[in-house]
Amino acid sequence: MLLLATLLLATGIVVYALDRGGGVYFLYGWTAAPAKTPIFGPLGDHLPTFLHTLVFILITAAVLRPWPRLIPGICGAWFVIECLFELGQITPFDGQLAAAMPAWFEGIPVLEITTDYFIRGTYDPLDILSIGLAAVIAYPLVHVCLQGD
Amino acid sequence: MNTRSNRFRRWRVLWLIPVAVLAALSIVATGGSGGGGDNGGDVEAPLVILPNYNFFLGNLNNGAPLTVAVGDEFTVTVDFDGLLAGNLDLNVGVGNTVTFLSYLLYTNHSFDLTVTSAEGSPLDGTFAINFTDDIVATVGDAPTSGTFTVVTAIETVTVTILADGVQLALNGGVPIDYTWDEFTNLLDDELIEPWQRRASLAGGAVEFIIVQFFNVADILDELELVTLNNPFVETCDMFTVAPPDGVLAQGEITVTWLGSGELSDGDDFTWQFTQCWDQDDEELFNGTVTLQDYTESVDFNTGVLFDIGFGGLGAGAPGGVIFDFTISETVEDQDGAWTIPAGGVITISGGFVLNIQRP
Repeated sequence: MLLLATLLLATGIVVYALDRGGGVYFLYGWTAAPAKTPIFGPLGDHLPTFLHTLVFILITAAVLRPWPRLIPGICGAWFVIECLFELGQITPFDGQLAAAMPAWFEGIPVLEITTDYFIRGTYDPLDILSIGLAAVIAYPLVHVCLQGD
Repeated sequence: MNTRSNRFRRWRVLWLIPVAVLAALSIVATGGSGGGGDNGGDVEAPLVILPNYNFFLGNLNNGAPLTVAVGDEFTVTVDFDGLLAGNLDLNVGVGNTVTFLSYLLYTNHSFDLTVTSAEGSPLDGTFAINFTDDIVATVGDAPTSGTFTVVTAIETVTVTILADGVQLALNGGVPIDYTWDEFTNLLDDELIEPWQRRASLAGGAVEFIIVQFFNVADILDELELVTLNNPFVETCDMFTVAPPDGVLAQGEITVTWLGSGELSDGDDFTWQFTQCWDQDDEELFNGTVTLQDYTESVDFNTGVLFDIGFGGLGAGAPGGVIFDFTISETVEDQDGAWTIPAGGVITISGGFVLNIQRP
């Protein structure tokens, strides 16, 4: 499961690196221009969200393995967590969340752009759909992986 | 053996903590490019200013709220509920000079006003101004559409902006139409019911905040110039006949950059008005606006300006726009001399954080 999660995570990074030209914080320094014809097509808009949810369900299931009864809870929990981050980009929550971020985040890698994440990020219902789809697909996928163990 | 194995499995649950942290950080890290304008590497792309930006105003994190004392009559304090958010259309000219064209104030944002008066007034107290429909306006003109409510503990006044005025309704009752001038003048008319005067005050407060925002936003594109000509001094309009007592015939504005090297994040400016008269508005400005903790982020790939402003938006972040400032009304008397009428001085203190960001 961890190997699969790593592969999926790498795919998500490739989407950002190629289709989006690395214009995100974690690829700072990657200077390639976004592909004129996106390699992942329109899927690339929502694939990272889908993969992120799937990856962390797989990692969590791997950590808690072999407790199959927890799988629905794991899928549900990650669905909620990912949705909360997405919903945090809706006005006016974005501004309120940004205003609530502590000052000590400034200067700390990644944390320093938490404010930007909420304010600059755009809420997209299709991302919620991607998260839900990932949570649904993850359920049988984890089952299959556990049976493979 | 089984017991030891079970215990091991229970401890594995602790791995969920770094997993959750990693998940949160990886979500945030997919956000827009961070880093200030000085992090862009060796080759600096030319700055690209987009034709549309969002803007945000919030309370100072380390300072007093924006407070306006109108003569000896009353004092109004502004308390932003989180961030007040809006959107700007702008035109970028030669040399990245920016002209603001139009703006809107987003719905679902709000701020509180607290009114206090020395002699007691029906307007005293705290009330909320909630934007319930986007307020749309051309810069320099009155808004043309939008709705906001003025809410006290016992009443809600709905202010609907029309093409040429406003419509006021108390608790969903019969609306009353006013032109903009009539609406503005309601505040000072003691014969008018307090709910209408309160609505007028709320409208004036929105206008005042927007004017102060644009005053500061207007000089953002000049800051680079200030760093090259520090301090930057500009003369104001001259009184061609006798100025008010104790006032210079011609004042000046001095913008001083308190940084060194290149303009960079965290720099401060002072914007000093020395008896600066504006002939068009017949107002005299005096005092200092401190612009603390300049912030600017540029996309290192495209050179696009991501955000610019003063002060951090996060809780406890330093800086912002801080006023120690007066605006005096000037009136020309029958003899052609200018005077400042009693009660004609507005004192502004406290301030706000200001940030303009790419949508």
